[in-house]
Order: sequence, then structure tokens, then C-alpha cells
Amino acid sequence: MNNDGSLVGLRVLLVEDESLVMMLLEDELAEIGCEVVGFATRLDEAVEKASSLSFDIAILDVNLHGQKTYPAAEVIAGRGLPFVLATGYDPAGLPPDLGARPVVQKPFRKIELERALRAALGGALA
Amino acid sequence: MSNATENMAELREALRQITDLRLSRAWLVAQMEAFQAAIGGASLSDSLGILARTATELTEGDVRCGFWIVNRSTGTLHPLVGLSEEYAQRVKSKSNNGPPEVGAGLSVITGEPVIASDVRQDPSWQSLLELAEEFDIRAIWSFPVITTAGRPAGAFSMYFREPRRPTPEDLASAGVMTHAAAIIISHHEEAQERLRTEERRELLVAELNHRVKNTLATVQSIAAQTLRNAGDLTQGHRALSGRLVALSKSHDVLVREHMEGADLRELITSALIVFADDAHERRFFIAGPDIRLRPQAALALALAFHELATNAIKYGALSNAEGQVALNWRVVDAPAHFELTWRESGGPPVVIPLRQGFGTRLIRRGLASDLGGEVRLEFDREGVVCRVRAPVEEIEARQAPIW
Repeated sequence: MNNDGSLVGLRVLLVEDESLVMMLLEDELAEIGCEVVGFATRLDEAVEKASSLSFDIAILDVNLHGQKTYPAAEVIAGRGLPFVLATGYDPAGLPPDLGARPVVQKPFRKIELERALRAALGGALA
Repeated sequence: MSNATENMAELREALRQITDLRLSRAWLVAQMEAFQAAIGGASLSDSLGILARTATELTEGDVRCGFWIVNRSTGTLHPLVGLSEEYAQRVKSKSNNGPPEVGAGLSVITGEPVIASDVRQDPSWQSLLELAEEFDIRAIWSFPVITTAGRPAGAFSMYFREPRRPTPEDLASAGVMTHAAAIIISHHEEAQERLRTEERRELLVAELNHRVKNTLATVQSIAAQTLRNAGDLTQGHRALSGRLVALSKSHDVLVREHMEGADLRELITSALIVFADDAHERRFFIAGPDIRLRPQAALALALAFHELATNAIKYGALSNAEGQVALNWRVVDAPAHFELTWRESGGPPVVIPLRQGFGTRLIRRGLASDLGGEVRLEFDREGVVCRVRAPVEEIEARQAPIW
């Protein structure tokens, strides 16, 4: 996060298996001023990019083709990087260590996405 | 008969009645306790254990009482309460598959009480005499427990150390016992079934909620992109409606196969039928082998066909009276790939669009991503061509399980 609290210039890794949702996120992130530096639509790809790519924050769909993205979340957390979870499920069903992370529930508004990104970055700084 | 003898007889009768009353009362209390336990959610062995203990207490002489239960999925008989596990195993090892054809096992098979008042004299126990000796058993009475639905659910067995023949009172008590046990077992099974149904329902609702949320997110994306690209409200409204109907129709095809897959030809027909009106009839040439697509691939292709057809009607091969659309697909080997081509011909000369609209983005980006393959969309002067190539394993629906 920049000093003025804006999200401009933030480099984002997007993990999402629904291409239409991916496009929506891409457009909204572009409007916010973020730069999408990587995509992943499958778990192996997500874990790979989570560990090797240079990014500031990740947005993780919880469920990719029926597989949970928890391994990717662990890799990102292990690098000390922040992430936001996106899900169509009730966030109450998330494992306890992930339940504390910022969650956006699909479908979401741009302002909710911004709030979640700020919350994730705030948590990472604290 | 002397007065004294008469008095004695009366006294005995009175005592018998008192004993009967005392027994009846004890039986009633035990049944009530067992029923209360069952209704309160106690385990089957706890509820039936109350009955077995009562039977042991109220039967004169040295007796051991217990319940056997039939496992509904395997049909095998298991000791539930009051019985020695080792004894059960040993009896079982002496019999072939299915319940042992002596005692409790036989009573479950026949649905009738099986009384061996002295195992040494009983032909069916001759091969098991050693076992009976070891467990100090001389007489065995077994009574079937038949549920309210008429299914043999188990048996109640009484084991004595001395030879013993049941009196009518013994038989009546056993009848009360097995009747109460049947009610408890039926109640237990119904409660289990209700629990399973409730769990299934909750899972289904959670899954449905998830799917609806995802679909709404998809719709949100379609709406946002359509409105962003629309020239005016009327145009935006029309385009959005068309896309939502296309999405809805592809869902219909999927629902027909329980959301597990969609036949490609059926999907194409459903996506293009709205464009095949009088003016455009017989202008689609569709050919390819049978293939079942997994849901995500099916939805992505259906939306892509909708975009291609809409464009063809507005600007392409379907915008005049002669143009045609050929839609062909095949599966090639080594490695197994699916190839599909949409080729327009006979339309007005194609002009390359100045900017990338939703349709182009959906096809180039979305379709390629959802199919895990490559998509080439070319605005050839003779007609639009869209080529799709994807690994079969990425797009094909999993085979339905055969069992």
C-alpha cells in the first residue's frame, strides 16, 4: 500500500478458474489502479506462481475445479505476503487459520474488493 | 377338600397373582426406561441393554440374556449387548456365510423362536457341543426381533447353565421383550435415516448456494462488460438479454445430465436455435463425432457460439441471404486433442473490428482459459474463422461411474 493509502501500482497475482470472473477482477483491479502481474486457473499453476512470482498481493479463489487452494495460500503466507480469499461458499466454512484472512464473497462490489485488499495489506504490515 | 387345603390353594393363587403383578410392573418400568432412553437418543446397545438386564434380573435361575443385531448392508448377525464377543466369533466361525443356522441365527432366518432346552439332546447343536461346554451353556432360547415393517432385525437370546424348557410365562415375557426391542430398533433406524437425509439436504443446499453465487458472479461480469461496451442503453439491454438467455440455455443442457456434462451437438443446437429462424434456416452446417463436455467447457463454448452467431448476423455470413456457417469438430490422436472450427463463407467482405469488444475478449481469453487450450479468432476477408484446440482430457466430461 502506498503512503496515501491508495492501491495504485499494486502488483497482483490472480487465482481464479472462472474466466468471466477473472475478466471482471481484471477490469476492476485496472480501475483501482492495480497491475495484474500473473494469472493462475489451476492449483499446480497457482502454487508455482505463488512461490516464484514477484507480486505484492494475491487474490485467491478458494475452490479451483473442485480443489481447495489452501496449499497456494500456505505458500503465500510462508513468504509473508498478503492475500485476499474470494469464494462463493459461506466464509464460516473456511479453516480457522484462513477464516481470519480478508474474504470477498462472490459476487462482490468493487468497494468490497478494495476494502479487502486494504485489510490484507494492513494485516501484512502489522 | 379340607378347608385348610382350600385356604392354602387360595393363598398360593393370591401369591402367584402378586408375583405376576410385581413382574408385570417391573417389565413395564423396564420398557418405559428403554423407550425413554431410545427417544432421548441413547445408542441401540444402551436402550436394548436395559431390556436385557431386566430379563436377566426377572428370570428365575442362572441366566444370561443378550441381543443380536442384523447389519442391514451386509446381512450378517452381530452381538449387540449382553453377549460375549468371543462366543459370537466362535459360533460364526463354525457356520458358512450368513447367520449361523443355530440359535439366534436360525431364529432370524425363520422368524420363529428357536428353543434348545438341552443342547446335548438337540441335533442342531451336536457340532457345537464343545463350544457350549466351554461357555457353560446347556439351554439356549432365541427369539426373533421383527421390526414394525416386518423385517427380521435381530434376535433376543437367553442362555442357561442347566437344561430348561420355557413355561408359557417365559414365552410371554420374551414376546414382550422382542416387541419392545422391535419398536426401539425401528425408531433408531428411522432416526438414523432422518439424520442422513438432513445431512444430505444441508450439503445440497450449501453446494447449490455456492453454484448460485458463482453463476451470479459470472452474470455480474457479463453485465459489467456488456454495459461498458454498449453504444446506448437499448443496445446494451438487447446484448445483455441475449447473453443471459445463452447462459440459461446452456444450463438447461447441463441440467438434463445432472450438471455432469453436456453433449456438444445438443449444446450447439440449443445455442444456435434462436438464430436458425426462417431467414437463416439451413445455413448452419454442423458435423462432428459424439463428445460429452464437462460443465465449464460446455458453458464457455455455448457463450462463444452465441457471440460468434450474433456477430455473423450483424456483420458476417448471416447478414446477407447467401452466407453460410460451417461448424466442424473432431478428435485427433497422439496426444488426444479436440479441434473445432467455426468458418463463415459467402458473407460480405469482413472488416477487422477497430476495437476488441466483449465477444472477442470472451472468445480469445475466456474460451482459451476455460478449455485449457488455444483459440484463434481470425477476421479473414472471406469470412470469420474461429479455431479451437484443446486436450481432450481438459474438456471431456468424466465417465459416469458404472456402479
